[in-house]
Amino acid sequence: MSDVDQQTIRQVLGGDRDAYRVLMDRHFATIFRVTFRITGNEQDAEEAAQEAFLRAYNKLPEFRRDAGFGTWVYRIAMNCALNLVERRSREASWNAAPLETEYGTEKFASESQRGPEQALLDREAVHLRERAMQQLTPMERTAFVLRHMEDQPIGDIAAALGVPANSAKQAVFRAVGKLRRALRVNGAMESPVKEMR
Amino acid sequence: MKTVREEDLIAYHLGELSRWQRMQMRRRLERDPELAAESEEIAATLRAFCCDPAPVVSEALLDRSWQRVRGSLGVLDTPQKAGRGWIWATASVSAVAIVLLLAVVTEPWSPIGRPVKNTATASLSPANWSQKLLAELDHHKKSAEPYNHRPGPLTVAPVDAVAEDPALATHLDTAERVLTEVSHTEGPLQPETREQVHRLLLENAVYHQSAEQHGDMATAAVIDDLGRVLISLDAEPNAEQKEHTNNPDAFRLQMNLGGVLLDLRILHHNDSSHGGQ
Repeated sequence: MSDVDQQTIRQVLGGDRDAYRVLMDRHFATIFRVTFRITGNEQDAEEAAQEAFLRAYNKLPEFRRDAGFGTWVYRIAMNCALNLVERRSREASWNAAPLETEYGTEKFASESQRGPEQALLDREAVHLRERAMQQLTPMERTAFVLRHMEDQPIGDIAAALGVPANSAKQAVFRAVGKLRRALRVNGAMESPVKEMR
Repeated sequence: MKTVREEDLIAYHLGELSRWQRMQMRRRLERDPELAAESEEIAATLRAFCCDPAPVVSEALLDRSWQRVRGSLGVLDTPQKAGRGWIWATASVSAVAIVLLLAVVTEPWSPIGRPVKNTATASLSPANWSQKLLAELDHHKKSAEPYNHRPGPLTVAPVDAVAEDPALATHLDTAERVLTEVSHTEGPLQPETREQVHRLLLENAVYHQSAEQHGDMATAAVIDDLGRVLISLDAEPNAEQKEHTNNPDAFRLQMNLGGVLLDLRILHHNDSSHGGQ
C-alpha cells in the first residue's frame, strides 16, 4: 500500500473525516470505471461508487493493511454494483445501458466523423450488444464484465460476489454462451462483431 | 478422445486453462476446422465486448460524489474497540461450534462413536464396487429421481425454464448468492440479508407455480426446496431471541441449505449444458 494511503488512513482513523477526500481523489476513477462497466450507465455507476466509498469508510477500522486500499475498495465496489444491478433488474424500467446518456451521445458524435455509414453501423452494433447484455442475469453480467473487461482473477470475482470460485467461473461461461447466441440470433456475428474491433 | 464443450473453448479464450490444456486445445483446433470455426465465433463475441471505454471522471463528478459521501461520514470506532469486538466474535463462534459438535455426537442418529455396520458394499471388490456405483449413478441420471422420490436437478434433460426465463435465472442466481453468504456467516442474519431472504421468499412462490405450470418438475422441486430453506431463514429468531434459545434446528437448516445450494448449482450447470447444444 502506498505511503500516502497509509498516512491518510491513519488521519481518518484519528478523527479527520475530511482526509478521506484524499483517498477518494486517488481511487475514485478506478472505482467509477468498474461500477460503470457493471451497471452500464453513469447514474448507477455514480451511486454504486459513492456507496462503495461510504461502506469502505465505515469498515475502515477493520481494514487489514496487508492489501492496498485501492484493491479493498475495488472489491467492495464490485459488490455494491452487483447489488444495484440486482435491484434495478427488479424494476421494469431498468435499462442497463441507455443510449441517451451524455456519454453515449458524445461517443456517437465523435464516431460520426468517420462517416455516416460507419456511424450507423456503430450505433447498430451498440444496440445489439446492449440487447445481448440485457439477457444476462446480474451475476452473469458482473462476473463477465469483471473477468473479461476488467481482467480480474476468478478467485477475486468469487470473493466479491460471495460465491464459490466454480460458481463464478460457471457464471462467466454462461454469460459468454448467452452473448454468443444473442449476437448470432441478431445476425451480428458477421458484421457488427467484426466492425466493433 | 474427450469432446470439447463450449465452456472449454470459452475457458481457452479467457485464459482459464492450464498450459498443458492450452497446448492440447491448440492442437485440436488445428485439426478440426468445425471446432476452429466455433472457437473463432467465441473469440469474435469476446472481442465485441472488450473495447468499451469508461467515461472520464470529471472534477464536477468527483466533487459531487465527495459532497454526498462527506455528508454521511460518521465518527469511526477506534481500531482497539474493533479488536475487542473481533475477540468476542471469535469466542462466540467457537462456543457455537462446540455446542454443534456436542449435539452431533450425542444425537441418537449420529454415526459418530458407533461401530460401522458391515454392509454388503464392504465385501465387494474394488472393481465390482465401482461398477455398482456407476450403474447406480446411471440409473439415477436416467430416472432423475433423487432421495426424496421427487424429480430433482440431477437430470440430463434440458432445463428449459431456466434457459428461457431470464427472471427465473436471476432469481436463482440471487438465491445462490444469498444462501452462500448465509452459510458462510455465523450468528443472526444481518437486516439487509433478512430483507433479501424475505423478498426471495415472496418471489419464490411465483416461480414455483410457473415451473409447475410449464411441467418442469425438476426446477419446481428445487424451487420448492429453496422455499423451505427460505421460510426457515425468514422465521429465524433475531439476535436477542437467539440468546435465550438453543436452536436445535440450526444444524438441520445448515444441511438443507447445503443441499439446496448444490441443487441450484446443478440447475445452472444443466442450463449451460443445454445452452451450449
